[in-house]
Amino acid sequence: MNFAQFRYFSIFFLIALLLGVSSCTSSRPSLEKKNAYEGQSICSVALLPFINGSRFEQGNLIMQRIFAAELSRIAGIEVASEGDVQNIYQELRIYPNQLPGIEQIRVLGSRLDVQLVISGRITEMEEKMGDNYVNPVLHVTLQVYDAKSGKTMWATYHGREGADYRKVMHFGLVNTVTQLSRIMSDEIIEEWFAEGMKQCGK
Amino acid sequence: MKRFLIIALLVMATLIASYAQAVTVAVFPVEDLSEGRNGVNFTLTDFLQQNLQEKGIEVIPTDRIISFMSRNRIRWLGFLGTSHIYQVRDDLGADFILFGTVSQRQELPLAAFGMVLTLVRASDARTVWTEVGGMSKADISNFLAIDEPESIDDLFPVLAQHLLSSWPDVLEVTGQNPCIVVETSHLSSQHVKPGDEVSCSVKIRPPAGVETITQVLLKVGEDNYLDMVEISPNSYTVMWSAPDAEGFQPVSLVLKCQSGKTFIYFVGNYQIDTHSPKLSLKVAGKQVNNFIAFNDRLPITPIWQDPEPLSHWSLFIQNMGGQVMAGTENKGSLPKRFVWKGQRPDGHKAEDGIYEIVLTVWDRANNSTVSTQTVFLKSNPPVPVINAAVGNDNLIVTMDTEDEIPVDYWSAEILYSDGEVLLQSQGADLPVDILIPFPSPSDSRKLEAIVCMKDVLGNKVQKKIDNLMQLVNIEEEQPEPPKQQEWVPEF
Repeated sequence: MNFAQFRYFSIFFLIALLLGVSSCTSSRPSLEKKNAYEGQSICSVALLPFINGSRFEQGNLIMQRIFAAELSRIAGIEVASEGDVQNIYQELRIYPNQLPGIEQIRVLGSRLDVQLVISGRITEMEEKMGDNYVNPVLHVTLQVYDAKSGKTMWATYHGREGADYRKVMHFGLVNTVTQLSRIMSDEIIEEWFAEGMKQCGK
Repeated sequence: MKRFLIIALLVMATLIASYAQAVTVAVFPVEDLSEGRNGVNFTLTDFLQQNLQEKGIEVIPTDRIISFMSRNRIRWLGFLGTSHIYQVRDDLGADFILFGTVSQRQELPLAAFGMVLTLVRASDARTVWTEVGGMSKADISNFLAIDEPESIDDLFPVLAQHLLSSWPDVLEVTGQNPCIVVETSHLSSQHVKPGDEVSCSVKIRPPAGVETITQVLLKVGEDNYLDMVEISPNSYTVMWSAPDAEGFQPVSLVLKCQSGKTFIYFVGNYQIDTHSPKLSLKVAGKQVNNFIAFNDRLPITPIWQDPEPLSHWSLFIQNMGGQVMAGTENKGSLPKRFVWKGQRPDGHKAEDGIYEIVLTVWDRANNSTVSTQTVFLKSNPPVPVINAAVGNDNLIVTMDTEDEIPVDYWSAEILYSDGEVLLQSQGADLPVDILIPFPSPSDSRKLEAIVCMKDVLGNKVQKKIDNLMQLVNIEEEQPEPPKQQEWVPEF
């Protein structure tokens, strides 16, 4: 092998390595469909107060605010005001760390004029200390209910950590819980659309 | 001419741009979750206000917003209910509301800052712009580490600027038609008996000047429409009697508007319950002579035939005279088990006798059921009855008990006064005769007996008789019936 051949081989090897490393990050959210999705385009949803099953303080609120923002930003879905949801929770005497029953979901859906109601539980959220970097970890479970019937439509589980997004060396690393929550929210929403949920107006 | 055209176009573009941003924004105090649920970050609030003012946007001063929040008792940051959003528009004259939430703000282990910004249009309470971002010291690495952030104070302006860079160029002040807001709805009661009174009250906030509500109805069941009465501005109520048919009845609020539109809001279901709860009592005692008997602790277990939620219950234990010995009552579901320790309310032991346990339960529709169980308390030990008689070659000792509770076992030990055991005997049935051979005439030692008895409930007794022969004498020396001491008239 002469020098020119060695150089081409090295470049090819480097490209293959980069592609291999970057392809390691594709971990899709797992989705369980419990009821058939009727195929209407989704324009409005209500987020129930997320439940924090992790030790990360306010982890539920962080994920809830980010998920609501991303639903609105990338999917164009109108998210019912958190204040309205809280008011109905108080009226129906539902504790914030409690899930409403089928009838209560129907009341929520009707009052807020939404098509879907989404609940979330943070099962793990933390920031692990790596070698001179912070590795955030997030595991979340979301349940999607049909607002009209109150029945569970989909259940989605997604778990990632910041190091999963590493491209090469420290490039691509996600260093904050906020950024990881945003990326994972986008992945979940994209997965829902890929699995048949229709975007508003389409 | 060409120059004039360019100038005219520039002026028009400037006018359009200035018109597009001629909006008023209320920047609500930024919620800081790193400080807990009630954390607030005024530094960031001021920073956002300044940035918007630099964009030519009119910003409502913070003190007016705080005053609005205290007036309307708004305790949370980061969001508002639709009613309050409309009120911000009416009271403060804001076209948009900017909510900010600091999701993280930490110096260690690495400086990191994260935030969520949401812009809501006040006219229709819709989100028009939102941005999320997180930044760590590790995210920014410059050549030779020049201008790299050292702390969160360096990070947050960078992040906030980055988020605000996507601020919409044109903001439409007028959105969709504002919706009718059902502020509160209350259905009472949700579980009733046939004929019981049911009521529903609602408070609505009609949007100003868009839709005029002409009729407020309540749809009960499938096709029963009731007119709601306005008791105060925008507050309506109605009462009706529950029908006889058992089952669930859906209730919806129906608002008819002048435009011909009809809005329907599901309020909830109410249940007509005609059946009483079905349950019985199980007590863990010994079945003795048609009674369940116990001596110390009595576990009482309610057994459901058809479980259902309860509104409240009570359990009382009373003697045959109706005097309550113990009792408890509570709201909600029944405990799995009760235990009565055979005590009176003052903590002393209750007397032996028959008691009645009365459990009353009420379901959510106030249908009640009473379950009773009679028990026999026997906490005193058996009373042995011992008699002795002289036979041909033996002394016959007869043992029995005065109680109706059968014995589980008995034992008898006959011994001399110096401790020498003459005979041991035991069994389970009473009465019983024990034959004891006569001691030799020369033996002057006394005959003693130790008798033990335990009844089937576990009550035990031990009795010592110092001189068995004395029992024989008592039998022999029984006093004659007393002679009549006074005159009795004869007929």
